Amino acid sequence: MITVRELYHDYTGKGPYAVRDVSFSIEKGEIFGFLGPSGAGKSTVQNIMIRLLGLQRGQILYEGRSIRDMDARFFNRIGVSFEHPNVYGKLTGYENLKYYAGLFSVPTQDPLRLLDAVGLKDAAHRRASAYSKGMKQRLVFARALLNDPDILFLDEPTSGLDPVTAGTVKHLILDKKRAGATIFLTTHNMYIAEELCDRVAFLHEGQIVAMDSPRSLKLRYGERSVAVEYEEDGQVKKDIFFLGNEGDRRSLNDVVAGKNVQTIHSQEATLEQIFIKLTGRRLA
Amino acid sequence: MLGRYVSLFQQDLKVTLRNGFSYVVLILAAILVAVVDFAVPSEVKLTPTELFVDLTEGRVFESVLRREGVEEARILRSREELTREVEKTRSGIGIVVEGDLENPRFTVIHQGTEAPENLNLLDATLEGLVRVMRGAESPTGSDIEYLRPRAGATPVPFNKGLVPLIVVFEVVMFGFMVVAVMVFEEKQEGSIRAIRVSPARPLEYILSKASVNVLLALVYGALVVTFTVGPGVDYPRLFLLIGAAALLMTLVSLSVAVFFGNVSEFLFVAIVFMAVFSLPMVSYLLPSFAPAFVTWIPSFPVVFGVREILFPTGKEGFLAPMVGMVLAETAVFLAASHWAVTRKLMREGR
Amino acid sequence: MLRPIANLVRKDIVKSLRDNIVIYVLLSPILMAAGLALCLPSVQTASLTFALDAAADPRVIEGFKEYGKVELCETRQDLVDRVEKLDDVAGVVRKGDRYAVVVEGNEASDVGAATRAVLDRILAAGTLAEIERVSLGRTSPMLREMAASLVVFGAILIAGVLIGFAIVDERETGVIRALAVSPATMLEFISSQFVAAGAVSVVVAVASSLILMGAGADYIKIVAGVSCAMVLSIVFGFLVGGLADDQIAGIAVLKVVMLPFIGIPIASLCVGARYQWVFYPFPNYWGFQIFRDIFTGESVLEFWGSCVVTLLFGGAVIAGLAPTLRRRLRLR
Repeated sequence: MITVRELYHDYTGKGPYAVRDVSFSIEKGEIFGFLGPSGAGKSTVQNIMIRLLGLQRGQILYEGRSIRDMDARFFNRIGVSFEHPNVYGKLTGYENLKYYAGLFSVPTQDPLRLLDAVGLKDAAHRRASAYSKGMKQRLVFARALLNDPDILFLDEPTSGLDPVTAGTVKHLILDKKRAGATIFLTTHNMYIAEELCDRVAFLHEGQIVAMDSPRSLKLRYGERSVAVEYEEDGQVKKDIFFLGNEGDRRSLNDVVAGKNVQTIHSQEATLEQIFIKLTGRRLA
Repeated sequence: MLGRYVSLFQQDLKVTLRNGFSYVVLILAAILVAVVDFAVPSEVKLTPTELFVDLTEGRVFESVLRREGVEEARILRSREELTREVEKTRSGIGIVVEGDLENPRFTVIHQGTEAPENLNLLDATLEGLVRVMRGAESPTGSDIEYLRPRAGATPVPFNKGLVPLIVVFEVVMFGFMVVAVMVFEEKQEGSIRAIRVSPARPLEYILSKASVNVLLALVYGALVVTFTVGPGVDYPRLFLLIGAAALLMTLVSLSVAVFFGNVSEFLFVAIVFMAVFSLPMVSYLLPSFAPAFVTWIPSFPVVFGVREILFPTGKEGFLAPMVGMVLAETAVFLAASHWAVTRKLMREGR
Repeated sequence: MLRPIANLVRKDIVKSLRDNIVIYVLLSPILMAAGLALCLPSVQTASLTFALDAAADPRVIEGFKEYGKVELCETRQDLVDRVEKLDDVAGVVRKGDRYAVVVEGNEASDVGAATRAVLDRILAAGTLAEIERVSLGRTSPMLREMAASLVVFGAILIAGVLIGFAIVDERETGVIRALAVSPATMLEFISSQFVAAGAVSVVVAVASSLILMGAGADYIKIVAGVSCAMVLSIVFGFLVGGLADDQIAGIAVLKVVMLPFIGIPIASLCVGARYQWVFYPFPNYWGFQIFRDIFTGESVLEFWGSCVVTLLFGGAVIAGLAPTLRRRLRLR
């Protein structure tokens, strides 16, 4: 279990805090999503959790042990996939993984098998500088899996990927979860979060404004609505009716009874809409 | 520890080679070897050139000068020609001899910027020449004691004498830029972030980079030395000294480079550092120039050490203290680079 | 055409100010010139050092001071240790009422014989020869002038490095592709580099000349000479910028190109007038001649002659390189 308590971080030493009073905990085997727009403080929290940034104030505990007491062996247990692909351009994909694997003192996975899993088998022996952005992204993801980590930190793991490849990566993430890994996923992509995360936390201006499972968040903050397309005066019109609203319910009845309805869809509120409702800002 | 070091070393070596530094070493070694072997004359005089005109009866001095090894071009015909040459060469000193051996009269035509001590020394040398020509013994009976047998019976040719300079100020300094460049590339690619979240420790990171550069220096040095001085060199001792010095240079560079953002920023600071480290070059070419601050520069003893290894004069027991000294300096910079890498490279933020 | 150039120049200046590069570029050669100015007097007047037996006659000790630096050693072992140090120092020990010269045996010049000659001269009564000195009355040592011409030539090199790395940076970040789809032409690109780097090298050249030569140098010629030799900076910069795809490769190319660029002028200083023709095929030799003429008054051609040859030669090299560069930088 990972516990984060009252975390603060100040980059300049003169304020304001980039992260304020952030507390949450992640159960073993859980996928925990950290959602927020750019600059909300997501990466700051993650960077403190992976010791890229020093812990200034607050507590981070891994199975009850403070991150301050961890030595370099801590990194044997974690895997990090960075948002911006950071690989050695002069080395091939295979070499990037091979040499990185040599840095761990725990058994590591076969680089070729991992490359195959992320669809880079054919490009394994090409220099990474010749990879497309998406290929580099997958290489970074594969690198994060090398040491079979119990805790995986994923920063926008599917950004820049085509839908098919993004699907492959999502499957791999779920595989890791099934194998018992704890996954901390940072993203501003609400669909990924909804699809993968057991729980999500909304981060806004360095603070957590809401935290729960996507379903509970929707139940608590979301309103179900119905979108209807109908014909009026020779033109197609579209209206959304919120079912929790008495007036909207009446209007919907009128439209269905009196107009020529072409399509009708019930829709749930998205995490994006909830985020806007809570913060007044969009996620992306 | 060893496994991680080996992995990092293999990775750094491969990246360095793919960056074309192996070709750079080969091309530079070829150019330098060609310059030493074919372009630089075996005899060059760096101290002021004395030019002579012998106007004594029977030109008694000329033949002695020739016997002493003064080349033909430095013995002129007339006072006017001499004055013209001295004015033109700017580093020349003209000496006109008149009278006869019993009562010689010298006129020293000099630039006006020479140290008075050196002109006095020239006077003494001229009188010494007269004394030798008269066949007179030293009036004081002064002997010259050699601390070691004179190995310099055949002096080292000027062009070969440049090899220690090349080894120390090019080969050993090569790593100074390369190691910085390796760090900047990792910063720019972001690959350093992956190292930061791996179990690799700063010491392993530093030693891996240093090893690659030491290896490059050894290969570079071996190429230059073998094709200039010849294969009969005491390689183990040469490698020991080059290796220690290259290690030191790498660590100095690493201690400084991590504070900069990119090569362009660091480049000009590196030039100043390298210029300071190259100052002992002057002492090597002009041995009487050795002010205390120059002797403190780490490359000062090393260049003379390399000369002793390449052209032995019989000096014993100099290598161990010299390598010891370099390694002590290395230890200081290992600590400095460890601090700098831990603070500035392995962490982000404040 | 002028507006795009002005814009490109402004962009280069703002960029290098943000990187602090301008500060380093300006500071490093000026620091070097200052360092040289401090060291040169002691190089120029470097005289022999003698390690004397402290028991020597005061007349001998005082006498030696007229021929060089004197260090006194209390014991013979101290004296031997001093002689054995890395520099060329001869020792003089007293043996009863006689003296002996102590040398290592590996000294570069015949230090031993010179020291004995001094000793003889001090101890002998009367002189063996009449020696008269005639000074040509120069005040500025040649070494200083040579150093000044090399440092100012170095300013040209620094401008070249600046241009080269600016191009490498633009290629690496992909900005050059934005330029390639802008109306900027190859000529405008070259001109902007010329202006930006030219300004830097003029400042560096003037500042380092001031430090080394004082106000007496011909600054109009220095500025004119630097402006002409800038064509070499462009050649240098374009070689680095054209051949290297990233900064790392930039350093690799720099290492290789710098050797002949700075090595040829230095070598030409060591080679006599008879063999100077060997260097004629190199444009940087002619660029260096400009500054040799300014500072030492020695050059193969006069000042303007060297300027014209440098411009023509450098221009021809740029013209030769242009098609390759245009292709590599994807400019029109």
